[in-house]
Amino acid sequence: MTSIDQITLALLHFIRFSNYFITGYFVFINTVYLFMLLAAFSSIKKYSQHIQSMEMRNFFLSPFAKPVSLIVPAYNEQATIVGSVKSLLQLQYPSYEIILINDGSSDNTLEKLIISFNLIKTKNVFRKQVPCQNIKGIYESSTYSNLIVIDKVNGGKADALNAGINISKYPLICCLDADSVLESDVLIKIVRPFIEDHTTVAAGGSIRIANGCEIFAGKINKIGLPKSLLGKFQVMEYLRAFLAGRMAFSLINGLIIISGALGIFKKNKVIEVGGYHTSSVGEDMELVLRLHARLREKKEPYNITFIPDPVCWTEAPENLKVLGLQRKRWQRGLLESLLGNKKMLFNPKYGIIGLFAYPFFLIAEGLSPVIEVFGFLLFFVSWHYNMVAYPLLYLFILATIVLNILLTIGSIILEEMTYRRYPDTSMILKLIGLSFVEVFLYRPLMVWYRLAGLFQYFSGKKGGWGEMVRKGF
Amino acid sequence: MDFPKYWELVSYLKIDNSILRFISEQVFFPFNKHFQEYPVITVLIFCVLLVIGFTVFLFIWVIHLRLKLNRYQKLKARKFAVWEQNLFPLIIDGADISTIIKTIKRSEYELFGEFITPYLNDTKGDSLTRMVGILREIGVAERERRKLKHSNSARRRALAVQRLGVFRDPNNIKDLVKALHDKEIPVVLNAAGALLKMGDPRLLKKVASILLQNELITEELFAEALLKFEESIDLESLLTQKIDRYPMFSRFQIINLIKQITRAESGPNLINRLKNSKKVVSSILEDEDLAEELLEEIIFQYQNNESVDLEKILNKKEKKYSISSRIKIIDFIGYMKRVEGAPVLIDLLRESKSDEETISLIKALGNLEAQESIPLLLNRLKSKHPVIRAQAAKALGALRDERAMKYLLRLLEDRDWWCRFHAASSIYHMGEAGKECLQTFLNSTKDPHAKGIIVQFLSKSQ
Repeated sequence: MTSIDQITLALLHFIRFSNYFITGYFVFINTVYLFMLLAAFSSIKKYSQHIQSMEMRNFFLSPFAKPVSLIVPAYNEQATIVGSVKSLLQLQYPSYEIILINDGSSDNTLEKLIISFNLIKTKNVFRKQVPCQNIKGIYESSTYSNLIVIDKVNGGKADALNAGINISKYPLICCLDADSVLESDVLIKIVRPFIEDHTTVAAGGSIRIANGCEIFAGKINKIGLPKSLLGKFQVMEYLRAFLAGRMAFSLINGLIIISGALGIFKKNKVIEVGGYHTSSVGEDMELVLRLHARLREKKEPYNITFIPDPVCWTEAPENLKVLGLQRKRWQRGLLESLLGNKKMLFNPKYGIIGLFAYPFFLIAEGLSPVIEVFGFLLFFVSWHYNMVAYPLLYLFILATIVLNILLTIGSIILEEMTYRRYPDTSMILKLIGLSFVEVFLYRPLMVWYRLAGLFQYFSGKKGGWGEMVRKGF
Repeated sequence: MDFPKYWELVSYLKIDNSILRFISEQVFFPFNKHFQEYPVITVLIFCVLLVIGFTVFLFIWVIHLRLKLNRYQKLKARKFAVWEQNLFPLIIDGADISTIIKTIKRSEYELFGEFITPYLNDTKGDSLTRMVGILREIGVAERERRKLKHSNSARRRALAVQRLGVFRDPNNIKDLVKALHDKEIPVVLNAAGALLKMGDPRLLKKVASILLQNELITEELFAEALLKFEESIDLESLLTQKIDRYPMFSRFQIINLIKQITRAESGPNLINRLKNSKKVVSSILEDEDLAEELLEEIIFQYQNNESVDLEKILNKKEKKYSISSRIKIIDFIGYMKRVEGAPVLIDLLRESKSDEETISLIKALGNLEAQESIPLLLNRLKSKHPVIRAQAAKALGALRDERAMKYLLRLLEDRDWWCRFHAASSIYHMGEAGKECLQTFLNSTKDPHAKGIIVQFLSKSQ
């Protein structure tokens, strides 16, 4: 054989083994997803039954309820900020404070707040327990005693959250996005794990997409689906991620993401790990990973949990440009968080996190765009060399579609189980119908954005944040 | 060179694996004709078909859930309207319960339970008795009792206890007391709530004592249970207990009595004889409640076929509550502003050697605004523990006694931020005198931290 033949043969062997690898990857990931769906079923059922069988009504009407500091960073949110704060002021909970951080907005966010809530500048001093940029002023509302507004030099979301932690008074801190709408009983639901189990250090809530819903005075009046296809795809994506994914990880105490839009933490534990990393764009995941690492190193019993009730509604981007920027940022944040804590990878000292949750996120989320694009290119190369096993290819495509539908329907059932249903059966049928085409339309788009995010991360490019032009609720 | 076709190259598709061939030939025989040669593909096809089948099943399930829910809501609206019409004459005029019973089908008992629960919660006296009468008549109460006794599902037991609690029927007390020993926290908590809703102070003491022995009941869950008790609470008896419940002589007599019974009887007869011995045990112990409690424990162990160690039961001298238990009670007294508890808390603070308990006591006394505690609180301002100093400063602020001012001023230069903050806050809230005092101190102090915190408060009044 000539050397060219040898190279060609080696290439054919490479293609052959790559085919094995891609098939193996596909089977592994989907098997885990299916198991996660089943685990989520059991977990949500257990949760619903528990909530039903043990009332905590008296406690949450009494002064016993642990007071909570809501920390809400805001950057150029003038369109929605007043409505958001009004919605937060209506929450059902005996004792809480709202700390809103104006993170150096260039619009009229602060001015709108000053006028709407009669803010007065104070000379309050505070303990700087975690690092943050210079605070220009602390304002208190003369109308609402539990509203505090901080005006600070721009330092990013993580920095704003740290400023909020420094100012906060209470032992539990709840970090929120300024553009979200919360269910009025959100605090009652999310504080409950801390009451029932004193080892709970953090809890995350389920996030839903508010586009298409009827919102009045900061409250969801009627649940609906977004009008755009992009919005509907995101609804399905959120349902799968929150109800199936996070619930399953929570069951094994392997939750490594608590959404920045709604997460509650024991303040002393957050301070113990140094607060949020201000340089991180995936600050929410990064903090949770460090909490896991710290508590496992100290061998302290702890629990990081997820509440499946839909409690926080957020506006999702419905145009490709903003969605792209958002997803690239998420991908950068994910890789930054994972690779910044790489000591945990396959390290038995970190238990389920080091041996399963971390590697799974790295493979299934962090590196998946590379593997998926590689698989796509491999198909063309295999086709060129007439190496496509068509029966297997057809099966592969069929399995991809069916698994996507299965996971979507599964998540919809989980949604039904959490008592916050889409009111019309036609909405459910629409979502199921769209899951047929999601793999061809939405998934490649996501792979592309995530790949771009991955390149941005490794090339050190920052990219945009993905600010949305708010329509306002 | 002539490249091999992939079909030829990938001989793995024709692997002659005996297990796969067996599955292919025996399990997937319908595919044999076409796929016998390719067991790998056959297995994959089967997996995909399985997933498709599962997907179709889930789809049907979603639709089924929807239809079921819609039907249930319609039925609920219809039946609730009918029952409401029949229930009001029953509550207001004392009409016969048979009228409403006729409208309830056997399959609708659960739904009726759901309907009547809010009414039961808000009703007392004769109306409650009549409504419970309906539930007894249609067998709902009995069914819930059976579930509580025999169900293996913790959720069912918890729900059964919850419903029995709503009925507030004294006939259920024994079953509910037993449920307090359940392994599952929701059952225990619901049972405690159910018993306390009845408003009997003797039950309160019993429930509190059992709950405090359960380490899984946190102070918040303990409070949740106690908050269901709407009558006034005898806090002193709640915080202190008899040290020796069964004197030596009585123990000897009781052991002899129980031995006689167990020698003569077994099975249900044994339980009946034990129950009937209550009078004798009461006369030995000279305490009816204690006798009942003791017999209940013995019977409970016999019923559960546990080995009964009488010596152990009787030697179980009830100790004073542990610090963690006391903290649960102290927190309850403080947060609920039960001012009658202040003397007990002051005594405890005087004697307390635990930092954790001291912090709870100071917080509670602050909440109760107990003036008698001022000397003790001033003393605690000198504590080595910064949380104790800070909490004492905060409590003194709540009491607004100007005598505390000079002691609080010293704390403004404390090394701990919270001590400085609470000291300044307490002085500031003592009115004009406090503000003047802060201003004077601001001019005299050289400590920048003290200055910072004073400026923060003084700027509020400008």
